[in-house]
Amino acid sequence: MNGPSDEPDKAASLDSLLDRLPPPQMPEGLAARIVRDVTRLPQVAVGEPLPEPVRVQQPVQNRRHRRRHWMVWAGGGTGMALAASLAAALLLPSTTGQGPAPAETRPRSTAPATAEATPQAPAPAVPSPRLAEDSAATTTASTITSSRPDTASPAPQTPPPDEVANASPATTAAPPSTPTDSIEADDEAEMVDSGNSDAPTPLPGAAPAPRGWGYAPGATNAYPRGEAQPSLPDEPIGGGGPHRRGRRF
Amino acid sequence: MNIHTQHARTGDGQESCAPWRAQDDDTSLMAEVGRGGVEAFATLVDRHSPVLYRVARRMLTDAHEAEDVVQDCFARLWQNAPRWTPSGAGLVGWLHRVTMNLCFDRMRRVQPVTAATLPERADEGPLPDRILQLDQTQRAIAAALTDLPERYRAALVLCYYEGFTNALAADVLDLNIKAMESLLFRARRHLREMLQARDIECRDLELPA
Repeated sequence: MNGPSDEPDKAASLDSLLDRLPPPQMPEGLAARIVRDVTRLPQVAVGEPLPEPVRVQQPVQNRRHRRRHWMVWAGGGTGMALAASLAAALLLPSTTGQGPAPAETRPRSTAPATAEATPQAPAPAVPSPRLAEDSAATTTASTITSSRPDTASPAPQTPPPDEVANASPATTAAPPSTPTDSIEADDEAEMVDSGNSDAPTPLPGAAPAPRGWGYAPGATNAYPRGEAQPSLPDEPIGGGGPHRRGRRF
Repeated sequence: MNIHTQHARTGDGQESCAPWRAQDDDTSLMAEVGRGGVEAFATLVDRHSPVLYRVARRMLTDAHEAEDVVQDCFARLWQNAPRWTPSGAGLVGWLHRVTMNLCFDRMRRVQPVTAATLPERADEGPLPDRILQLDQTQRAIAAALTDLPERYRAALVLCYYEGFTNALAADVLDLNIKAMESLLFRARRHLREMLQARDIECRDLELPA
């Protein structure tokens, strides 16, 4: 240590400058006081674990997880739709005793079918009990409606479910005609003869054909003109996400 | 460099043997302290408390704060003695690390003091007759050390005043050796700049133009 000097050292080294500071001296009695106070404290046992902060791991839901979840969900929807279509495909021939139901026999079609698809079948076959109930209700409604002579009934006459189940296709295709039905049959016959394949214009007072995905093939703009309509399942095709239309589960 | 033979500068021009020369004894004493031995603990306090107080005093520039830091350090030593295991720099490194962390905590602590609760504190500065004896350079150096950032001050206190090697100081400050050397260089350069600002020139640490 260079010791204190009256003149500041202008060119001293840093070590020599630091040496000029006197070392702090520990006050007397501090060690004894520490021993006296500290030894009163309890000691931590050997096996005692240190307290650690508790961290709750929050579930992380990243994009991949969400996509996977969506895929499972969509797969389930598609599976249900396929199962419904398969059930419909298996149920139709078992009840009617025929092959796959033709497209013109769509049960929910309230509008007349196209000329190509339904040349002489204004009334669809109703194979399933549920559809038979719907048809029975339609029949009842049409009967009530037809009781008034000034009102045209758009719904075709449909035999009861028991008759439908036992009837042949020819019988099903040609139900007992009423004055209103004969008029419709004549109109359709004209359409077939003239080769008009456009979608038929609904009769006055008839309910508009349902439109949308997976609904009746009688929808006006469902398929291109002159193209055979494929067989669609009874249930609307769903799946693919909540933004898709026609999902019913 | 063997840290067991390291000698520390005490500031008075003499070199004293560092307390970690008897590190093996520290291990056996710690085993005794872990079993509740008060005598062994008193031996450790007598051996290490002067150095720890010096370090804390240079870091905090407050005598009472330094005493509290030393007492807190030995309190932790006493409480954790049953499960203490020697590693790294041994007990000396552990004690200095705890002391440095306690000093950092107290330096970073914000102590709002309102006018109504303003305590009566004794003037820690030297007496007037002592001030007359101190030269301008010494006061300027003390002020520059006080104004240094805490990490810079810790590096200078450990490596210069306590004679720690860079490896041991790096272990105390939880740094690697390269980071410790860089920290020490920057600390010396910063101190030189602060001394130059106080009209004190240093002939070393001249930066290339």
